[in-house]
Amino acid sequence: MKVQKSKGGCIHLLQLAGGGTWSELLTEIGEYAEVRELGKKGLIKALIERETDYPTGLKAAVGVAIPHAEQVYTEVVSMVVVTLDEPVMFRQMGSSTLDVPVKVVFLLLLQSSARHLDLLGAISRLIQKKDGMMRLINDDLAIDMLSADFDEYLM
Amino acid sequence: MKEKRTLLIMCAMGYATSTMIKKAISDYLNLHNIDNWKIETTALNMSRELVGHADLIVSSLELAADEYQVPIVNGVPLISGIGQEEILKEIHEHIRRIDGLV
Repeated sequence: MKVQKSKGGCIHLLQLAGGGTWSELLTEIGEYAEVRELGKKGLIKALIERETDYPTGLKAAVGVAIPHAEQVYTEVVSMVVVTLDEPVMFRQMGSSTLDVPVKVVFLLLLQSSARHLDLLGAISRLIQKKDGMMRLINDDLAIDMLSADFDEYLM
Repeated sequence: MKEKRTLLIMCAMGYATSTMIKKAISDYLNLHNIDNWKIETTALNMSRELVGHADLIVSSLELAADEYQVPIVNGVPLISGIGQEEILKEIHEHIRRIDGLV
């Protein structure tokens, strides 16, 4: 596992092997967040329950998922961005039947909704852009792009 | 002044995907000078009262259309960007119809 942190420290960029199930992946990412006290105990269970009932897979510029739990599980307002060597199948948002192969996961650990309006808008814009997403996956300096685009919203 | 109509955006937690959808729709409404609609966001389990006031619902969830009295639009394309224009046009059509313009 390769880990990089943004300049502001609130964005963690992980590179993981992937290839397993979405619940294995959310367990792995959730453990990362719990151990570093970005999320509170119970985060993993909450993420898996939520993803089961209301999936977050998206067919965007590349396949992405944006898992998040109730805000009570946020310890530190932050975002864990995960790029996967092998895609992981997620159920598509708003569907009970369709799956999407996911290459990038954005675990959102947020608190107040009003404060994060711009952050969520910026994430939405990023996942729609092929060049930005390819840079996130392939570029060694992707963490600098994330710092520039998102740090200010997480401070 | 006429009371504003309500476009209600519903998602599971009421703060993440609904906010993404809100951004796309409010940009569109501004662009088209539609100022007689207000946008609210809510979580599915908190939405009972708000649903009663809604004129149009956009959601990132699979909702059973027959459980609601107003049109339901799937808002997922506004987050992924795939099919975004079509969905914005669909929302615009609903707004025009509800406003009695068509």
